[in-house]
Amino acid sequence: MKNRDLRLGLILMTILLVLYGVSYTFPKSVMSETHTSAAFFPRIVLIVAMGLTSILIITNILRKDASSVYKVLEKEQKLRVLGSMALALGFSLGAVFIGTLVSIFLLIIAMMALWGVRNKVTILLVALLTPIFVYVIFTKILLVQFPTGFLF
Amino acid sequence: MVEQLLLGVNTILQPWNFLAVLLGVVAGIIIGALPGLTSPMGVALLIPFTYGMDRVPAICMLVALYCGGTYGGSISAILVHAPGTPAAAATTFDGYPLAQKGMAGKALGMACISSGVGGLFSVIVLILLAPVLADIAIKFGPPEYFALAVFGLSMISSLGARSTLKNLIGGALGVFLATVGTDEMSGFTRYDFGSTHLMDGISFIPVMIGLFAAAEVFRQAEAGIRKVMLDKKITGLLPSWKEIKEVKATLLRSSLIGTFIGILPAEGGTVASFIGYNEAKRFSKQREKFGTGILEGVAGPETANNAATGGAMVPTLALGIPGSGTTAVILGALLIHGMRPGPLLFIQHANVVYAIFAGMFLANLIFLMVGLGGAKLFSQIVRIPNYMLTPIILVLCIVGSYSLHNNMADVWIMLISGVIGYKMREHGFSAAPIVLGLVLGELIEISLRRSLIVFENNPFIFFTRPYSVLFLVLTVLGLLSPAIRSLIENRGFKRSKPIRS
Repeated sequence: MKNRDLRLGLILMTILLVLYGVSYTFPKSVMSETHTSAAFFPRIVLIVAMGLTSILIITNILRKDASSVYKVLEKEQKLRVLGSMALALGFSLGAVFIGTLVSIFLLIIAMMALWGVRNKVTILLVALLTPIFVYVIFTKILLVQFPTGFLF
Repeated sequence: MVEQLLLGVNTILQPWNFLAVLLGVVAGIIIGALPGLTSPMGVALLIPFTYGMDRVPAICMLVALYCGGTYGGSISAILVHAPGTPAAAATTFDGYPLAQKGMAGKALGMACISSGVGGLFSVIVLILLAPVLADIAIKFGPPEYFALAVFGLSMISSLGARSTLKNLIGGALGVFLATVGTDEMSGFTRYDFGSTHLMDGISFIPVMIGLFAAAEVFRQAEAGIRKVMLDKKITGLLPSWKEIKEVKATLLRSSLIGTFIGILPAEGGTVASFIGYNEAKRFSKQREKFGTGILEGVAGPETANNAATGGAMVPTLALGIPGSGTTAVILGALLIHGMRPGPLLFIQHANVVYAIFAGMFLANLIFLMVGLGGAKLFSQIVRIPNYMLTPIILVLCIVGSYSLHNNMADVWIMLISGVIGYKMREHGFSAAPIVLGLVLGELIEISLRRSLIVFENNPFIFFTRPYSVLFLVLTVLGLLSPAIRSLIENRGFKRSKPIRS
């Protein structure tokens, strides 16, 4: 691949084409002669998006130098980003089973450890105070019913 | 109008409403002062806290956060040379050198006073202009609304990222996301892929929280631990009367510039602050001292970026077209609270609109007092390490998204938006055009299809009505503006470096 914009453009174009194809599965209105159908507007938007993406692709193909400067992340940086994403995902799954407040406590500890924070007092303080804050504000005041799981 | 305004003042002075404004301002200053945390992110994160609140305190708290956040950005810009918000980037030019000279207090004081002046000026313009604009817009039919919304969307070419093309792609994707769910006119579902959660469409709030806040969490994770060392002692906050008199022309000029830039759909405080700085420099008698630490160099951008807040609310409230990234999020909040911004808002919810006006005025007065009184305290905020804040923000992203409908589907939408937002930012895309497309998408579709139904599928109807033609011409100019700007820059007419955040 010449550069990442070209790769992104091609991925985007594929997705847009698939979505355009999906629009043919929408049922047609019985009033379709006088009313525009449900697929009318999404198709217009997708055509515009495909046109713009084509420009992105063509300009990147015609570009002689692959000069798009992108940061190359170091292993440690990648680990922190992917780890944070995985923790958010784990939290969303775990909250249903072990409870939201316990999940928050664990998420904070895991995330701060992932970042390399070594001060245990700070970690524990943030990990304890955040679920308390969430419980008071969201559960008690805003009456939000979080999944409680088998713990809390 | 005066009666309604007085009623609005009375409403906002009720203890709970006053408290909401005060909390909004304080939260805004804190969020603004922390580099990396921006106003749209702050407003998006605060929306879940307003679900159970009445409309007036809820919206006023968000608007107050917008005002406070815009000022708050100057604190870290002056003290640590890191703008708290993009709109405060121009403040670093003279604010930081002033702090290095031992005049941090005076710079913070000037930033606060000029922000207050700009903010109050723009609220007065908002109060006078928005109802007039709404009166004009009430006569609009579907073709005019379609053209207006397309014009609003075309302005995304100047929003956020440097690439016009990427902004336009982002906007188109945002409009596409607005088509997901049940089609209002035919009743058929679109792109729900069998999911019952998607039948009602994609909610704005989880997408906004994901794109603005969760994406920022992942970006902060990439940067790693950041600690700020603050060694400047803050003394003498109030600039002297003589110093204020010296910048009065700058205050007025930047107020006008900021308000005007703010009114333009999709132009925000960042553009306003740079133009405010450039113009302050151009008209100054001490032009050569700019960049070395001069109070006028702080007053110019700070007045302009806060003036843009009131200006940006004009098209948001009167036309339903957001004037900036933050107002796009506020527009989403208005919808969540059952109010559709636009001319009808001034008829159906006049009490709320005038309370918002009064709330915004009050917010500017409050941050003037809180900012001057608590500058030393707020300056300590920049010391809070990001490793403590970021996990808390991620938790707030998740619980905030869940709170919207008490279901995990919104959390998944937020997380997906966060990952997409992070990856898109990596590729030079900005979140603001996607959000703008998402909030305007429904209006564009409905007004287009209604126009075609009412005018028997005649596509030329958009070119036969004066306001519609006007907006379409402005759309073409808006789309061509980056090319025209670049042409002017290349020919050397531009006085200074291109300005973008």
